Amino acid sequence: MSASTHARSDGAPLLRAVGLTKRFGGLVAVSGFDLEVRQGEILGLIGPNGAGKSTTFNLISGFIKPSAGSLEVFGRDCTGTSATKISRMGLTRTFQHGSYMRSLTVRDNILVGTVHWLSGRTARNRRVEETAAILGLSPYLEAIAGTLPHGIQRLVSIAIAFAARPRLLCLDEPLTGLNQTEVASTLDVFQSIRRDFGSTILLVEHNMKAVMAVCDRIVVLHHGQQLASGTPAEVRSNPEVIAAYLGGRHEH
Amino acid sequence: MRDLHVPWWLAGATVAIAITLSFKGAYAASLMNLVAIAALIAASMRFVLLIGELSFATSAFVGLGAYGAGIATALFDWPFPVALILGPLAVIVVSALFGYVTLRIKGPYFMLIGFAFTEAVRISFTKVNAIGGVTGLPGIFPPQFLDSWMPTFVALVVIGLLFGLYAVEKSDFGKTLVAIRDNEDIARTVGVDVLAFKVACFVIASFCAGVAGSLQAFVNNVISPSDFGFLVASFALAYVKIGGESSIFGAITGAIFLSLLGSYALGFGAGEHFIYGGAMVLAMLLMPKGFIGLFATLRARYSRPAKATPLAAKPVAAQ
Repeated sequence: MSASTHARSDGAPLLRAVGLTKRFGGLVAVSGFDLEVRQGEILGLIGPNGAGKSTTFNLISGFIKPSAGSLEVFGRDCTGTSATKISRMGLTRTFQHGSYMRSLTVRDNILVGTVHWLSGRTARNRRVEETAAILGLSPYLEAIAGTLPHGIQRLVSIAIAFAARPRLLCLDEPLTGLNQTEVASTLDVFQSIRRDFGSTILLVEHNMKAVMAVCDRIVVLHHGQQLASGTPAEVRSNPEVIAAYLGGRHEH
Repeated sequence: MRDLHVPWWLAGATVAIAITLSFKGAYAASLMNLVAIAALIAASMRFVLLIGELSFATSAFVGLGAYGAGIATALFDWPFPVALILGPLAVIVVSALFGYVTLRIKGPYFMLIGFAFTEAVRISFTKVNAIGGVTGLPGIFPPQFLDSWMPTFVALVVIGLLFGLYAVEKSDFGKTLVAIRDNEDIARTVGVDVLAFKVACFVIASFCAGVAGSLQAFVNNVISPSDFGFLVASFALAYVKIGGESSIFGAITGAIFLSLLGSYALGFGAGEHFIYGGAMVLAMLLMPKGFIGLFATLRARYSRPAKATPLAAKPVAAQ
């Protein structure tokens, strides 16, 4: 396990997973995975298909319980804590597919993200409109989410999770299916979310160019284990990472 | 309040009350009561559909509402308002417990448990001799002064509750219910307690079913366990499907149409069910989104004549 050389030692990590393991019958999806998410960073979690990225997301957001290992969120032990409880602590997430409500308008989609956090229509409406403006969704507020283009639906799913103004925003492949312009503007959104709202972002993403451009730190997951971690430049030049991605020889 | 269409509701309520005031006679009264109660049960059924679940337990809650009224009036001679609300209050407790346990499962499993619950409650009614067993409970009369006003009273209560359901559906709470139907995982990721929302939805809907049962007991004056089998929920589902699921007005329209048709079909004796079933099949084939869907299609067609012009122009061009 390579140690990070990019440690910005600013207090306890927002999220710390130690030896996180998930077995599905005989299949070990995640095996002794360590992860640390630090305050204020944009952290990329990458890895080839089937590396266990989605399982990791499900583990840290409480959607599945780990078979072994421990999880600490915002300094509290959350091993086995339910998804609702973890989200109420300030960790929200999106899903890889269909991460929105198809029959509701964009306005009502984002509204759902505010229901637990704000009371009263005025406060919620203000939050919805502010969120839509940040993500460039204002022109689509009254449209039914299920009828919109794919790129807009991706933004809607981020908007729902961000409407809760989470301390830690976890995004599962938010850029998939977006065109270049949309990718660029979404990356800008990530930066402004961090800058203006102090949110930390954990990102699972396949678009390497975008990950390299936006992330402060990258963790590479391979066969359910941490293969490498470090700055984009470090990860890019790591021979093990290159081997894993190019399908070369590896010892797992 | 702005998006609740209050003027339309007032207009609808006025028409409904005017109808109850202008048609007198026992047959007209029984028809009007039948329609109003059917509409409330259909709206209750549809309210649970907001979270995407089909509640066959609706029949049981109609039954509990009715037996509450029956026991309070026929056995204890309690005052009318108490008797009217006793069953629905019991329904709140029972449906909260039932919902808390069963709403963790979804789809066909939830439907089957509701079905089983309805049958269990119905059979329980038949086993208790104090409430008349299989023969049922007679002598459930409303106070004398209400005798000739019963349809108006029923209509007022039903319209009040229908508007209440409509207002709840349009609230943020109601929108969250639909969000849970669409994608409950998303709701969970932003801190929504999905089970609590589902139980609340179920309790509200079941309470309305309980009131419908209570009204039915006072309207029919006699109740028996066989009135509260799973057919009550099946008919309610037919009302919702034929009227159109997308809006509460669909449930109301379906209930009016089918319960009137059902009463008319009674005159055909054994052929009754053919007419009823035939109408349902035809409705499903011709208007898959129900009356409401048909209405929306027609409105779209006639409010946008530009779209129809090229078609109309064709024969002219051919000449």
